[in-house]
Amino acid sequence: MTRLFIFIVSMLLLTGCVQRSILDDIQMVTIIGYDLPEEENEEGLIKGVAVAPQYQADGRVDNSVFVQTAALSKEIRSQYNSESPKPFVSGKLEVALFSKDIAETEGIMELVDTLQRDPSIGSRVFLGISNSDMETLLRTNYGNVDTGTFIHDTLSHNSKHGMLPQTNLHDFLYNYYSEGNDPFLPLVELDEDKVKITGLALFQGDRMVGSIDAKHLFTFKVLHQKFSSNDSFTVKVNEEEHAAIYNIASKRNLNLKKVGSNKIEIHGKVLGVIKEYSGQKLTPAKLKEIERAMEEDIEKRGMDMIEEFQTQNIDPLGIGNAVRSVTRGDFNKEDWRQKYPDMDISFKMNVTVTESGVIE
Amino acid sequence: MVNKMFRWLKKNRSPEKLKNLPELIRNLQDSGDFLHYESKQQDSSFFIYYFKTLVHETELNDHILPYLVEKPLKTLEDIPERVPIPGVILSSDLKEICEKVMRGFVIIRLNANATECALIPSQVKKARAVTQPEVEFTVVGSKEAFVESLDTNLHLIRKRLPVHELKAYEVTVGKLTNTKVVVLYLDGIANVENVNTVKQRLEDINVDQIVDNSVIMQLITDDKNSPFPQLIDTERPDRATSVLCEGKVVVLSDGSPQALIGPTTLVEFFSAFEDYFVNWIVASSARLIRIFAILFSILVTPVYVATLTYHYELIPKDLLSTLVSSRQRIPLPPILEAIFLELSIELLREAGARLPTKVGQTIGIVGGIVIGTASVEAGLTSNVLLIIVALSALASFTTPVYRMSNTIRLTRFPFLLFAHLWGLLGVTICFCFLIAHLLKLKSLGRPFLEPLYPLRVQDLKDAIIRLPLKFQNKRPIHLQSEDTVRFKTVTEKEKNDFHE
Repeated sequence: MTRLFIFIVSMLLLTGCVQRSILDDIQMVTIIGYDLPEEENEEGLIKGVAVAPQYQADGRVDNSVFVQTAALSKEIRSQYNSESPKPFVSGKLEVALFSKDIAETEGIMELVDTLQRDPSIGSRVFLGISNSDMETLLRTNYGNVDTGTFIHDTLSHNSKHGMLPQTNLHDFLYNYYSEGNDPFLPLVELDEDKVKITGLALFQGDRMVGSIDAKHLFTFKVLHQKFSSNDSFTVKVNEEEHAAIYNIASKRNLNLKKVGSNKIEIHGKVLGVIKEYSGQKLTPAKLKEIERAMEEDIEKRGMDMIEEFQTQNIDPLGIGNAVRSVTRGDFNKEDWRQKYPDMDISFKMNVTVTESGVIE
Repeated sequence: MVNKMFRWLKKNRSPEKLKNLPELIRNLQDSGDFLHYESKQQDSSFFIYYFKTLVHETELNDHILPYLVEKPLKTLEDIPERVPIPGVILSSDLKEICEKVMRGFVIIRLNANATECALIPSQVKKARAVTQPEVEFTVVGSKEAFVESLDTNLHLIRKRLPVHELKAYEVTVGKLTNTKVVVLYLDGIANVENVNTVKQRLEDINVDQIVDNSVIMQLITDDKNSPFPQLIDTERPDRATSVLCEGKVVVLSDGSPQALIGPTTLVEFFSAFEDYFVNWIVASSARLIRIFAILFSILVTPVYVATLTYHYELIPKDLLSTLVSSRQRIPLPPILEAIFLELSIELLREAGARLPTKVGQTIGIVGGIVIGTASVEAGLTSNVLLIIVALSALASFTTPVYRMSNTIRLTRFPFLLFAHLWGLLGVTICFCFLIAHLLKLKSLGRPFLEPLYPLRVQDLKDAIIRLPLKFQNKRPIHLQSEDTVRFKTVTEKEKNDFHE
């Protein structure tokens, strides 16, 4: 009886130690952006822009924007609290954006690290690099939605069904920490009242060193991973004729048998459906022609891209990681870095058009 | 304890105080409906005493008295010979006489001072006609329900089970009410230990009044401090018969239209008798829906409180705006909001149950629609929670056994409290307490959570799902039946009449 009494009393007393965060009494940050401050005297500091949606009873969503400058990102957070009526929580963070300036000069790992350390932040948070000014980007009203969800959805559907390769906190950290991989993140830009994905930012370590334009994203995705998408790819068959290929399913294969003699072959395989054709009639011979044109086009773009990567000595395609997986014994990261620019990497495409419409 | 409490009763009413029959009769004459007169013939006379409210007077005048007056009565021994009714006895035992006369026997004495008398049975039997079951109504199947008369109820079971193995052991319980209680079981099938447990517990009952079988249920149940019922009560004679065949024990008591069934298990409370009338697939899915409904009913409001108080991360982002905007104007924390709504639902239910049917319906509509909408508009509760609470109340009514649905609704409140104190961890802790409590329970000494724990794979055939009847060929293990095989499964012959 005494034991039961003590048990109950101590349990009730312990409830005082639990911290409550009632849903409507907290400030949920859905997107956070980091930028370098503009003023001269704030050198070495970081400007953090956080957006917390305010859901109104009538269904409207207002976005409150908080801007603070400090040396550490957690310090920024305590400064946010000083100007907010409700305590800040980070559990509903959807997107973290970094300005191009930060990514190019200081590197982003220091900031990503705090995201990774916070247990209430999931590993599926999207990361991105912003070309536009962070404060303008996040202060823009994107309609009756909260900004975080809006940008998250833009990135999410593009990497699920579109040409954007998958990039979230988990992927970034994997690429960053694994040997023979370099991370990449989507590049976004403000386009009047929308956010546009303009390409891919390429990293060496945690520093941005280059970028890929949006029109080459398809080629990058073919080179990078197996995927299927609903986007289209336009092939220029000759001066007048164009064909659009939809419902693309793609696979890549790395032939690593000749790594010893510094030769790597990448085989891409694409299946697609012709939905649009500007020429007159699609004959089987024409189909072959289209396939060949597409193969050549992708091969050319791919080879340009690979050569670019080699000159910059970055490996976003994860070739190093693939080589490591077939290397017996210790894989030396430094050796690989030395060897990589001189590797003979070739790229072969195989395009198959499976359907070309009902009317033949 | 109970013995001491009722000792004063014993003193006042015991017929031992009365020394002899004339004194008893004088005592009985205090009541206005006690009739006594002398029947005088030429050379013999006798005295008749009875309660006119207990005796069938037409029967007495038409079928008993004529035999007594056709020839003069010499001795009392003549009476049993002359009256063509079984059950006529001669007695001088005051206690027996008193008991019989109170049950509608007629006393006949040869002279006013005799201490011995004849007792002729002539009870008036007034009982409600057998009607449709109302609590356990099924669309298909028998439409008979137990009534308040023990004899009718026994008849309803006996006609369904015309075997000599069906035994009806009778006990009289209650010092004032002297209620007849019958223990029914199939000899050679029901476990002797189970039967003896019930008999023993009935005989140990020491109260003055048995209002209903529910009182007996409370008195013989294993854990009297548990909110969970450990015996099932049914108003369906076909259900009673069917559990008798399984080897269970049924308790009937006079004046109660409910039969008690034991030993039982938790899953049995979630199986409706209709499950046996429909195809096994339909029955199994109905059971699964019911189990889902129970869990939903217990857990959904606590989980709502826990997530809104502690775990905002768990809420999907598309639901966030709905939840936050619905709670925007509400001054109460989630727990008070939930308790407010839960209590108002309980109020409605209680008010509806206490009022006559027609008014009760109005209360339901007024309460459900008017109060619900008004409290949302007034900003006291969020409409999301209103939906949740209404759904969980609805879900709690899917339990086939009425007693269980009361328990289910009660269980929600500790869960709510724990959810408020420790969030989902609290819900888990409370769930552990609940499981521990259920594990501890017994029904007539048999484990209450069987076949889930202890795991009896064979008994799962009729637990969460109900397998086809051909698999139901063994009696449940937990009943420890004397005869475990119900029937032998014969492999079916080729049923195709046509050949290709």
